[in-house]
Amino acid sequence: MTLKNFFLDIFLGIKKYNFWMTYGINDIKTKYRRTKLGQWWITLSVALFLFIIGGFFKGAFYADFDIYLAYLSVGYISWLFMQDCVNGGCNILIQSKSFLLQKSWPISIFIFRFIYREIIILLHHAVLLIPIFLWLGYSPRMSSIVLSLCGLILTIFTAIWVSLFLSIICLKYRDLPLFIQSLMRMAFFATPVIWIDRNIGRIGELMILYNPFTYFIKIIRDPLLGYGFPSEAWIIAIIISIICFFISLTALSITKNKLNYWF
Amino acid sequence: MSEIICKDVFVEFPSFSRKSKKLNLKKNKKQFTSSTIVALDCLNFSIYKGDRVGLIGKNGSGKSTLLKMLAGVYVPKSGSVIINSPMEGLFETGAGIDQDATGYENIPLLMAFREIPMSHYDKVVTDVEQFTELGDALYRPIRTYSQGMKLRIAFTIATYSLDNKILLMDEIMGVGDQKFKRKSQKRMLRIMTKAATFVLASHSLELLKTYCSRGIVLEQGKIVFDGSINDAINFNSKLNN
Repeated sequence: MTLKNFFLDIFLGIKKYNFWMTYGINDIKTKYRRTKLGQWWITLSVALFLFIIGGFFKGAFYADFDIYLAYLSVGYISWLFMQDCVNGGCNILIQSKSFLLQKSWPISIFIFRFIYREIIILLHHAVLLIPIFLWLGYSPRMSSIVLSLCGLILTIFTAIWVSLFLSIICLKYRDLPLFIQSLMRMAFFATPVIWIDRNIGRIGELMILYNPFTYFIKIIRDPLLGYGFPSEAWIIAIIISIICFFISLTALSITKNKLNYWF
Repeated sequence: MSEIICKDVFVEFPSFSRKSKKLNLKKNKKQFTSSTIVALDCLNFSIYKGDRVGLIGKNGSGKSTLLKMLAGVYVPKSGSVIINSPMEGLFETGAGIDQDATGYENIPLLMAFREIPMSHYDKVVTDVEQFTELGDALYRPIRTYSQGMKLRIAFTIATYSLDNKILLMDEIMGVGDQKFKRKSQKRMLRIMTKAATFVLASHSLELLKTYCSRGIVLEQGKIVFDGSINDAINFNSKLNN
C-alpha cells in the first residue's frame, strides 16, 4: 500500500460518514439501553466522581475548593477522553471483525466510528462544566474558550492517529491491549489530573516532562482556567501529534493488505 | 467481456497456533512445519458478464476464501485479480445487526452497513415489512428472534439494491423455513435478472442447479474442474466417491 492509498483510505472513511455516524450513535444507545437515565448516566457518573473526589482532595493541595474543583473537572474530563481513546483504540479492529470479513472497507471508517462515539461521550461530560462554572461563579473569557477548543481539536486529531496505530498493532499482538490498559491505570496517577503540578519534587517533574498526556491536558485546561496560553505545551503537543500521524501512516501502509489475515 | 480475471492467485493464512510449533520443535528442531496454511493455490480463471457460477467442493476446499478474495476481504499474497464491476457479498446475514435493538432500529444500521442511502429509508422499511411478514415482532429486540426471523430482515436489506453488481453469495440461501425459502428464491431470481454476474458457493446441489450455469470444483485450494454446472456436479460426486 502506497502513501496515495493511505490518503485514499482516509478520504473514503470520511466519505462514508453515514456508516460511522449511524453505528457511532448506536454504540451509545446500546450501552445505556433499558436504563432509566439512558446516556445521561455518562454525565451523572462523572458528576459523582468530581464532587466526591473534589471534596476529598482539595485539602491535600492547600487549594480553595472552587479553584480545585474547576481544575479537577476540566482535567478529569480531558483525561477520560484520552484514556478511552487509548484503551478503546486497542480493540477497534478486533471488535470490527464481523464487518471486515464481509467486504473491502477503508480501515479509517472504524476509527471514525470510534472517535465519533468518544466525542459524543466527551460532550456529555463537558456539559457538566456549565453548572460547575456557574456554581463557582467563574466565567471564562471567549478567547479562553476558543483556545481551549483549539487544544481539544488537536487532542482529537492526535487521538485518531493513536487509535489507528493501536488498533492495528493490537490486532496482531493480542497481549498488547491488556498491557496498555495496565499502563493507562498507572498513567492516571502520573498525570496532573487529581493532583496539582506544583512543589512536586524532582520525580514529579520528570513524570510530567515525559508524560505526553500532560501536554494535551495543559492545552485544554490552562486557557479555560485563565492560566494563559501554554506555548511550550502546544509546541510539544503538535510535535507528538505529527509523530503519531507518521507512525500510523507507516503502520497502515505496511499492514493494510494483511489485516484481515490476523483474525 | 471479462468481469473477473484471476491470474496465479495465491492466498495463505498465517497460523497463530503456538502449540503446533512447540510440538514440532520437540520432535525435530530441523523439521519446523510452516506456520501458514495455503487456502488458494495458483488459481487461474475468468468470469464473464452474465456468468452464473457455482463453487463446489468439500469443507475447507477454498470456496469461501475464494469468494472473500473476490470481495476484496483477502488480498492475494501473489498473483493478480482484476474486477471490472462493483461487488456485493452476502456471506453472513448476521453481520451489522445489533442484537439488543429492535427490528425497526436495526433497519438504519443494516442500511448503513450495505451503503444504502438514507433517502431510501421509507422504501426499505416498507420492503422489510412486506417481505419479512414479521408484523409486531419488528418492535421486539432482535435477540428474541429465531435464526430464521433474523435472516429475514438481514436478507431483505442485503438484497434491497443489487442492480448491475457482481453478486457473491455463500450458502445463505439454504436457511429459513420452507415458505421463506420459496419467497427468497423468487426474490433472488428477480435480482439475478438484474445482477449481471453471480458467484454462489454451496453444498446444495438443488440450489446450484437452480441458479448456476457454470460450475467450478475446488479441491485443497486448487481448481480441479471448470465447466457446465451439471458436469461439475458429476465430477464432484466422482471425486468424493
